[in-house]
Amino acid sequence: MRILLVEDDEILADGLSRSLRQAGYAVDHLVSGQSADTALGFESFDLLILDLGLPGLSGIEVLKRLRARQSGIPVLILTATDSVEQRVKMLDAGADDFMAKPFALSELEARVRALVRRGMGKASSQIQHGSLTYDQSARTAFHQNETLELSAREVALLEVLLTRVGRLVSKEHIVQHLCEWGHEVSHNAVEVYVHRLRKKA
Amino acid sequence: MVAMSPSQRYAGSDIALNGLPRRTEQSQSLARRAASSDTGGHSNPKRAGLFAVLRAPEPEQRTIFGEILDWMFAPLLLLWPLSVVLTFSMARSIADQPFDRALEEKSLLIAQRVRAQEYMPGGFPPIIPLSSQASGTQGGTTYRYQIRLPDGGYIAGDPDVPSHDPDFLPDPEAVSIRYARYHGEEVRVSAVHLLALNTEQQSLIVQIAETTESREALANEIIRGLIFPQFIVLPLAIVLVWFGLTQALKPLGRLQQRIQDRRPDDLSTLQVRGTPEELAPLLSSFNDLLDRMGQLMRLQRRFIADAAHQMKTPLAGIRTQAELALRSNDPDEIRQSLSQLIRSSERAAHVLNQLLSLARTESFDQAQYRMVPIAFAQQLREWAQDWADQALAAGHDFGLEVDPEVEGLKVWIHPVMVSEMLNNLVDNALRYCSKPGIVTVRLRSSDAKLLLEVEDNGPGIPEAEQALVFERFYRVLGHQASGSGLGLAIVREIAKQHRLELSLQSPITANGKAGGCRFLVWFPLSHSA
Repeated sequence: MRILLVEDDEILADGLSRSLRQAGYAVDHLVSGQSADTALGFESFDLLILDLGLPGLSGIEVLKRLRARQSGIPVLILTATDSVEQRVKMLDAGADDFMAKPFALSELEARVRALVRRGMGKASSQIQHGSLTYDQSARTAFHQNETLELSAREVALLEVLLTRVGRLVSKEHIVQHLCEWGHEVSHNAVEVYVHRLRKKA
Repeated sequence: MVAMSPSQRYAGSDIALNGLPRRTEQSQSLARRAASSDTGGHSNPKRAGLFAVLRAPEPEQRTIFGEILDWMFAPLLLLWPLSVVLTFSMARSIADQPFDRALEEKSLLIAQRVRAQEYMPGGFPPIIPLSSQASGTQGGTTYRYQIRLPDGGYIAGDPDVPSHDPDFLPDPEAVSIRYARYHGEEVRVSAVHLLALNTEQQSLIVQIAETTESREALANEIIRGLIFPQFIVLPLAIVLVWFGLTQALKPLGRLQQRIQDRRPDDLSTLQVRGTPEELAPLLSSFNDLLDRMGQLMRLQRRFIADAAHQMKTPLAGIRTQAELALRSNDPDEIRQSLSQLIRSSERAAHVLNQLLSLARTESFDQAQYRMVPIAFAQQLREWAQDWADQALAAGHDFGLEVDPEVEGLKVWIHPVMVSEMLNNLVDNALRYCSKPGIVTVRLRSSDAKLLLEVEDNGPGIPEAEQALVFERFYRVLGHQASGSGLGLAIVREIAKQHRLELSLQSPITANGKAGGCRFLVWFPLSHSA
């Protein structure tokens, strides 16, 4: 699962990136609305975490442009004001959820999980496929009620595959959803991950 | 039409209400509103018109209604007696005309008879013909006759009829008519001058005095006919004008109602359509004001939103990093979080300080602190010590260049405010310079002013953004610099208060390389020094 974080405060962004990476997400971080708008135009992400008070192009403008491109990517807004007027404006512009600064990290993580899940069209955090069960919030997989020992990469790969059950998944797609910029892996490495996952499952 | 002064009114009501003074104001305003809705507000005791102004010198609230009434009726009431006087004199002259004509004919007739007597034997001195036409009373009017010589010598008739003026003889054979007094009564006197036709004859003045009862009766009748309608027309006119004014001023009442019915936060413009043309300029000024208020409110709202963002973001960083540290067992991770925590709290403190500084600057009372003449170069060196320390701590190069010819020149400033301004300029330069940074402060003279330059070797500010950098919370994109976004706003505010010229050049050419930016501040020299 790949998340785009757009936040101009480097310390907050550092904290959020680290926490999300610990949770197994690939996180890309941008500081300006302009670059976020560009990145959203050509890359596909599973979630956008967007700060409203960005220099240059404002968060709300990025959101409007994103929705104008018919993108259905879930968007979580970070805002300093939590006035009703502002909330209505954000929801109307196409935001899925919002958090008022300062927020509890655990709450943000829960909302991120919920939004990613909703983005995949699932209401529950459990994904069932044959005898395989995957719990998204605990990030654990079971095979016939036995816990599978998986590395973080393997969990992420399983998640990508399970969200596209019954469809062809290209190596390109896997790389895109697994890796941050600058940390892309080769197609061979993808094959190795898939091979390992098959063995364990 | 005479308005009572409001203070009198309040005082009276206060006594009546026994220590409930607030009620009086309220009830009065209610009463006023009620009055204005049904009669256009003329019963408003606060209305002070022309007469009230003469009476009460203190400024009072006036109504247009009262003004118009006063300015219409006051001249009217002054003109009315004048018109009555004119009517009287006109009636007299109208009534005189037919009587004078009759008197003239009578005089000529009598004169002919007197002349005819002269041709009879013993005809001199002539006597008044004793015909019924020539003497006595006719229809309430009494006539008296008299014949004199042109020099005033008495010949015949009633000697009490006032003599003509011997120096101004009437034209021969013509009739002259004048008013005179006879036995204390006003009479109309006609005089005919009979010239002597030959040496046997004498020139004579024949006079007839006529009492004026009939004339006065006619004049009075005319006056009655003219004045009586005025007594009916005038009050009727007052009532009609009153009614018309009430109607004409109704749009004002409606407009007031429209404004009163607005929600307090409604700053939308008032419709000019449907209001009288005279109100249109007032409405458009009012709309202008609303517009400016709206703009100010939007600015204020944006400022609050921006300030909240700038304050809460470091707090969110602090919380996130603290939670991460709590979760982690890795000492390196914890250490990283802790150092981020410190940076974030420093940033929050910086934003808070800058906000307070901006608030202080904006509410700075010029009158409270006197400007003092300061030897600027010397003062600048003192301040520069701190800047050099800051630059050193951040690993940048700091230089101060003072032109020897500005040594000892004085400027009038508030040292605290100007130091705040320059601190912000230097702080800005240190934050945005490239690494390794070179920041230079330069002082020289230019056009009889002191020119202070603060220069950095940063990436510079694109021309499109140069006007915006002085706005509150505006930050140039693409910098990881941790500015509050308020520094240059503070600089601008202080420069504005000191009436200092402030400008910005970017990019500049320094050491043969283009880039960076230079802020310039001109200080007028103090001439008293």
